[in-house]
Amino acid sequence: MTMAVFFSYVIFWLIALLYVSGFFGMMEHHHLVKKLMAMNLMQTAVILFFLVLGQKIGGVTPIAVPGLTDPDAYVNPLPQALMLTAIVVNLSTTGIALAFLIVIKKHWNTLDESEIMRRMDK
Amino acid sequence: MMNLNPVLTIALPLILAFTKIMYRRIANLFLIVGSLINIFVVMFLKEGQYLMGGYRPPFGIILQVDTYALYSLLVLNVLFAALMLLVTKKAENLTSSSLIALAALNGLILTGDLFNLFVFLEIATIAALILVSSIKKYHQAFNYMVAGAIGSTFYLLGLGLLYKQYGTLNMARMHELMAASPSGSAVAVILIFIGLAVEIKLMPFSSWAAGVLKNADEWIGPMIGAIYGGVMMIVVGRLFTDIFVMDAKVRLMLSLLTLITLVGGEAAAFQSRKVREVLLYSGVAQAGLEALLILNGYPAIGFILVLSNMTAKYVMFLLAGYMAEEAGGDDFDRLTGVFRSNPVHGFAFTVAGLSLAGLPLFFGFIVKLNLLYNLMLSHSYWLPALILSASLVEGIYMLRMILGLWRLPEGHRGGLQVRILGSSHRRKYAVYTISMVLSLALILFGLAPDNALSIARRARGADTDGKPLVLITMKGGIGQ
Repeated sequence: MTMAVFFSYVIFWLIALLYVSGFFGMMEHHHLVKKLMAMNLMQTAVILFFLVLGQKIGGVTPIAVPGLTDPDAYVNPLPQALMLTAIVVNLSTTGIALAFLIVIKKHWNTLDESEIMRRMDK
Repeated sequence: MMNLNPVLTIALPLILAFTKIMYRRIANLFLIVGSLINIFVVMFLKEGQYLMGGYRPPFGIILQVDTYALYSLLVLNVLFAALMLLVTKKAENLTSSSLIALAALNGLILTGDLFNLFVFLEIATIAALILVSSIKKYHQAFNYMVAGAIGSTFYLLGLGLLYKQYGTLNMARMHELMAASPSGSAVAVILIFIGLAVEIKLMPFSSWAAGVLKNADEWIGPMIGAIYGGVMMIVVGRLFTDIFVMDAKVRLMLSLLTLITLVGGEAAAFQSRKVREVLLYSGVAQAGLEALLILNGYPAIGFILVLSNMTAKYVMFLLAGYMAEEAGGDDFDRLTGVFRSNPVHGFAFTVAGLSLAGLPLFFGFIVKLNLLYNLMLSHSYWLPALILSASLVEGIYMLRMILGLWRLPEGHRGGLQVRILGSSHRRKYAVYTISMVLSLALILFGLAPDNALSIARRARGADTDGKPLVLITMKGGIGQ
């Protein structure tokens, strides 16, 4: 196994680690801002996953290079194009989430979920 | 006859949503005109594949108009327009979000591309979040967003795995490749199902729905509980019938999730003493049943059950929202006898409830009758037993709730003095008309179900195992 092939596997494990840490962060944290950050970690992990899918060892950036006519020489541009959309979508959800957090903070004077739940049950 | 391009059902609401920003004074007009134009466009759609930007599949995105999409669009757009006519005042500040929601929901039904589906899913969720914020339950809205975000990452992860394996995002091409070589796609299919399970409110991913729908008003209830839920299930129907090829183990695993939802939803609804909570959990249980049918090779009956439940839940959430607003809450004790002073609303609510529970004379009964008959024909006995038990429980709590809302409270004469929409005559008659038309449709389709059933068969054909769908019709009994 060459170093490059080894690292191509390692990156998938790192992405999985990022995803899982985001997932558990969302489940574990009671602070809503931390929850949101964990959500962003998950989203970033998925974006990275897609981008890595489009890569190939020795591949060239998918912009036409003079003289390089073999399509196999280029990395797959589609995942990158798709992930641009996903990034915009994630940005929108984060923006809306932050807006919600501002209103929640104004209303409850805290962003601790367990405290909010406790007050809601009263 | 005119043949319109289905992209209009997406583009027109989007254009109106952004144009409206310049004409705030007539925002309502944009909303109503946009919704009504969409019904007109849907009525002039023809079946076929429509290329976007001239790129042929699998390179470009296509919109797929078939019988399934056509009737789903029709029901969606009619229910949406009716709701917009009723809630114009409340929707005034959220016109753009409502129109964007309509565009995204239409896109979800029409798209023939799996990534495009993700984009529409996200747009629909973002629009829903903004709409939900109108009930001022921001913490619940935040939880909805978190659940939706987890769901969408699961979907995207599954999609990435499928793309890695098959190299396409086009639905039709994906189906061809999966049918030829289905092995290795199980994890991706499960991830996608879990991603969508958040949106269709399957347990244990439905906790967000409780926060939103328990507090829903006459706008958010029908919109999120009926319209969004129905469209998401239509998407599940498309993906897990026409596109994905599953082996028996995956099907069993996913079916277990739907069974848990069916049983858990019915149990939670049975225990509840609040109208909107009952509707919420009953909807969760029905979602379990619908997904169970879709996964287990009964897509035609699953499809018609989705449309029938969508209509019934729409009427019930609408009226429950008004009742809760007027009475200041929706617990049974507070609303006892409310229909005595509001008999027309009571009639519509009762018809929708009985249809949802699957009692005779109503459309829901015909759907469940056909379902049980087909299950028996395929020598499946545990599933009919379970569905019958769930229906029995549903019948009990639905009747208990409906009778409670009709029964006079002790010591009262002439009914509870809660007048649904007592202050606005124009709106009251609009609610009368729309809820009565929809509930009468549930009776009409219950008494003469032949057309609806034949549409379902045309839309979904034979079930996925190749068994013919046998329908119990009113014309000459049983026919194929």
